[in-house]
Amino acid sequence: MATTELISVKQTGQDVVGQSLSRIDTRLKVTGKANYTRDLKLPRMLFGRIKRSPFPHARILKIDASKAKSMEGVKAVITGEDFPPATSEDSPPLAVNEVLYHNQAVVAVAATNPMIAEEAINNIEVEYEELPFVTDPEIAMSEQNVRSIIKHPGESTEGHNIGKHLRLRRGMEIDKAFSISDHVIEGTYTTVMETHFQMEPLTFLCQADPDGGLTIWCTNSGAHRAQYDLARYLGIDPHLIRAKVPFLGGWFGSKDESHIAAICAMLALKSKRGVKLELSREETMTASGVRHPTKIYIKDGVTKDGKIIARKIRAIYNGGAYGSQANGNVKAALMASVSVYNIPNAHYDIIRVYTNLVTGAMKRAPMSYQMNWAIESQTEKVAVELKIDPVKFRLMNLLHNGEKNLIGETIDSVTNEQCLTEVVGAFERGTGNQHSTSAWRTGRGIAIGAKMGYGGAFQASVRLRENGRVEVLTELVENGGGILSGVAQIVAQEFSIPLSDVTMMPLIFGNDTATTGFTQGASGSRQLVDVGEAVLMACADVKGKVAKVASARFGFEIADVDVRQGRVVSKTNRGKSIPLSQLFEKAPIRGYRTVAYFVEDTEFVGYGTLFKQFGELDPNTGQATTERAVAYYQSVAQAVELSVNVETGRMKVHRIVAGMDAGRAINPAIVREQITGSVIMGLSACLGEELIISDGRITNANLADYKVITSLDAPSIEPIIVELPHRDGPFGAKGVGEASILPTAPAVRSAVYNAIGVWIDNLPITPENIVDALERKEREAEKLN
Amino acid sequence: MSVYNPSTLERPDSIEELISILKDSQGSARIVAGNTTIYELARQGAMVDVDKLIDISGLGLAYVREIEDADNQRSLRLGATTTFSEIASNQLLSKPPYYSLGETASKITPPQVRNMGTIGGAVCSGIPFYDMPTTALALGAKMSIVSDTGSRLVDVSDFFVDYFVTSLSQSDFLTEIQFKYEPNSVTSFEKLGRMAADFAVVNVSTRIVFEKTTRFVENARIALGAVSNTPVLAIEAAEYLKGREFSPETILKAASLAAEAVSEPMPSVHASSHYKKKVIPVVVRDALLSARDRVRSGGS
Repeated sequence: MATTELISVKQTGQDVVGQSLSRIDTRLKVTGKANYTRDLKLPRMLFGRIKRSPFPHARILKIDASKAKSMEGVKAVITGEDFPPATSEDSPPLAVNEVLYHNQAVVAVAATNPMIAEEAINNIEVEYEELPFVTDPEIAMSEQNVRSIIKHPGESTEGHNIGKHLRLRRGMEIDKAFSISDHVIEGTYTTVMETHFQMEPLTFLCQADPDGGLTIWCTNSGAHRAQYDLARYLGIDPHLIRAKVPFLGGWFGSKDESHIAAICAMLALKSKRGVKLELSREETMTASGVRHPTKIYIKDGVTKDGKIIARKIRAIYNGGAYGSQANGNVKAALMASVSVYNIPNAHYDIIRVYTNLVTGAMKRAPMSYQMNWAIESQTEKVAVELKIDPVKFRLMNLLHNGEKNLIGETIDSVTNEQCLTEVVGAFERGTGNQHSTSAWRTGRGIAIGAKMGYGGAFQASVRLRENGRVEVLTELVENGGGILSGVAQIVAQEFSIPLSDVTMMPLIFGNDTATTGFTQGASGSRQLVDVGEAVLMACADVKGKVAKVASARFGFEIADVDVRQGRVVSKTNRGKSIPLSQLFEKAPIRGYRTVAYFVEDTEFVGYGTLFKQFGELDPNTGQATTERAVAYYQSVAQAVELSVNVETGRMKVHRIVAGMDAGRAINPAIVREQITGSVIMGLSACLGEELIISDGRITNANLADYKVITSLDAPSIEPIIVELPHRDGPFGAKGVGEASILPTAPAVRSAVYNAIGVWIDNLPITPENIVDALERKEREAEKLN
Repeated sequence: MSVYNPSTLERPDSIEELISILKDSQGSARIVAGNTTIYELARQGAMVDVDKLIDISGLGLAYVREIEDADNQRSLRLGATTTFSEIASNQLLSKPPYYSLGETASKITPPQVRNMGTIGGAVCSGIPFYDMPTTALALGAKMSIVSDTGSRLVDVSDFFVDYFVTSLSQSDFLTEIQFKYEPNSVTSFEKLGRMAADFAVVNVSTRIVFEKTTRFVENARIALGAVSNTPVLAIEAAEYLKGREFSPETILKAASLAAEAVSEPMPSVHASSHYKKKVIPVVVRDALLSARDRVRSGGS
């Protein structure tokens, strides 16, 4: 586990950035006082329940809810017809005409208690005509498939059931590049459907408001996201929607399901009462969003001295029934594969396919996770087949700053080589673990990767008080990662004040669209970088306002003013300063027995807006059409030591050294925790997580049958922070929440090969898969004899 | 994902009261001991005909006792509501003839289940991938049962009937489990799961009784769990060991015989039949080797 040396929050304002200060939300959380959506209640609140499809694909012939509607205590019954017609490939809140996956929401009720709501659901009769279904994307997209065609309004499909097809074409015609290669090596790699396993299942609480609008508390990644999504789903003015996001009990991409929030909202609008809609764990696992299963084919052309000169990838992402935001985010799969290796000739096709399964959604390092599994698995295999040390092989093929990546950007502040060499160095300094029993074999492996950073629109405001206290009012979703602390440290640094003199309003009130400017929300680990940048702009703005008043009234030069430690100070003459309070007027209350402060003519509130947009990729070649296509690239590398039991296939992972480029670590303890958490999540998925699908249905949607690892399975994890400040981020920071999940599974796979000489190409690497692979190897060896 | 909403919760103060409640409810009541299984059964819709729960935590059945009867025969008595944590930490169970009970309890995961789950609940649920039923079978336990018609002892071999089914009738109540003290014996328990905190893919419990004056095996019991609809005894393997030395060689042979006892292990979401078949001899071997270690360390 990561060791964290925490420093008391009473630390002075000097150099707060870069310190492992203890988190400002810790006390609330460990004392159970932090409120999550599940904790909230409204007077006379109703309880929502959803009736779901028993079939993976069926036509809805008739919904008879008359019996439910006549029950005492039932206050609203809604179906898909209650919503405006869908205008995109997004999941509808409730199915209309057809259900496209098992457990899809069909009817919803609100009743005075959960038992009545449950009974009402059971009293609703839905008549279906079963239709053929398809769960294999390669079958779904083939021209021969005429059994299940999934069409959504407003989508641009090419061919059968294809939601999105991204292409990368670089260099010469790829077959020609293979023909001049010394070796051509192929591999096929698969990943499975995973749930996020966030602690808090999806929950919504909504009330109808007197102006015809509504207020909703929700487990979404952003309040403004929920607001605008809901406006679209409900067909009402977004400014009649007040969306609030309290603390989130874990996120990992799991909580962007605004179509489910829309069910709660519609129940509240129809019943004109407060409605709570809590999804069960089973509903969260089967009917919200999942990690896309994939099948990825890779073919490499390599010179005899180990240079990859051609790479062809065909990646099939099983998208499930709807587009959600995933069609738009297929780009993340491409971006994971363009800035690690320098490959002159590349031909990639990345295809997201509709099937009759729950929608593929975002999970920690979405889309890129699967691509990195395939690419690193393949890269390791090529190195081994060429008999070149895998570290050396990677070093020979890495991209470096100043070189053009596969989509034509000149890359900058990338630490591919530094990450890899620092991890290998630390790994080799550690002692090896060996198992004495004859059945255990020890192996070591490495893998690397890179994740893209996103842009978007972000607004923030800060208010400066007469005693130097700063209040930060912006949308910052605390999904567990420590973002409130990170941004508070940036502000404390900016005003040279102790962390305790910064009030983060989201810690007090949660997030609320009625009181803050717009932000894009939490996804893509973007809050620290992008909201952080907007907050810095707001800090500069308020300092400008202070400068104007200080100049008019105290003769400061506007450009010379800084605000530090509650004082207006001259930048050039540190001796010249006045307390901030001198810029404030005193307001008499009760004849000056109570005194309030205000600024004449203005308020010391600063605003910042960051709008970071990047160019589109050329649809035919995937090449960047502008200088930059993403915010940044972030390198990661990991080395794993483990032992495998050749009799049972059981694995003990002893040690993982995990390096990640943080740009600049604002709070190193939090960065190390994010690395550790990502590694644990990656290892858990690698060792056994799988939503098993049988007959179009997920069969293990419970915590006993869907296995995640526990602390008993966790290895020693040594996080390494690599710092090369980025030109854009606040103090050079990059987002740190996701990238470290990328290399874990392929590094484990490399170590398994190193230990027992078999390649596991299909995740998860379960004991059973290991035993099967060993059996295959034995059979092949027998054949050769 | 159904909401389970029983109408009544009974908390009897005596076994007599409990028996009368059971008799009156005619199968519509379910006994709750540690409450680690009921919720999952309800969630899966297996409790639709049950509208009454009976909390037996007030009956004073949480105990571990060793008794010596008139014939100087010692035996261990575990009350039905004794938790796995109590079993795992009880000093009486450090003796080799009982050792596997504590070992089994300590391998039940996670700690929350050890703290709440009871030995009575574990056997009465009739769930074949639980750990305690396997050890109860290996130790030849006697189930002490009362009903409105009186009390009786049922041999463990007759207790587990089918998947989730025991020989208990609707008006029967298990009060305690009895284990005979075998003076010259060692016991062991091994479990293979996919992860550290997991149900068993295969579990194995053993008891090896040695002849008083020699190093030869007088009799052996090897029980396997999670491989069939009830825990099963590997009879041929046990027969093979009888009269033989308990050596690595005989252990290997017994392990392969034990694997033959289950021709087609029951598959589950946790593991295929093929995988189970492959690992059964490994787990049996490891269980027997660990029993042998206890002999060597002067255990029996």
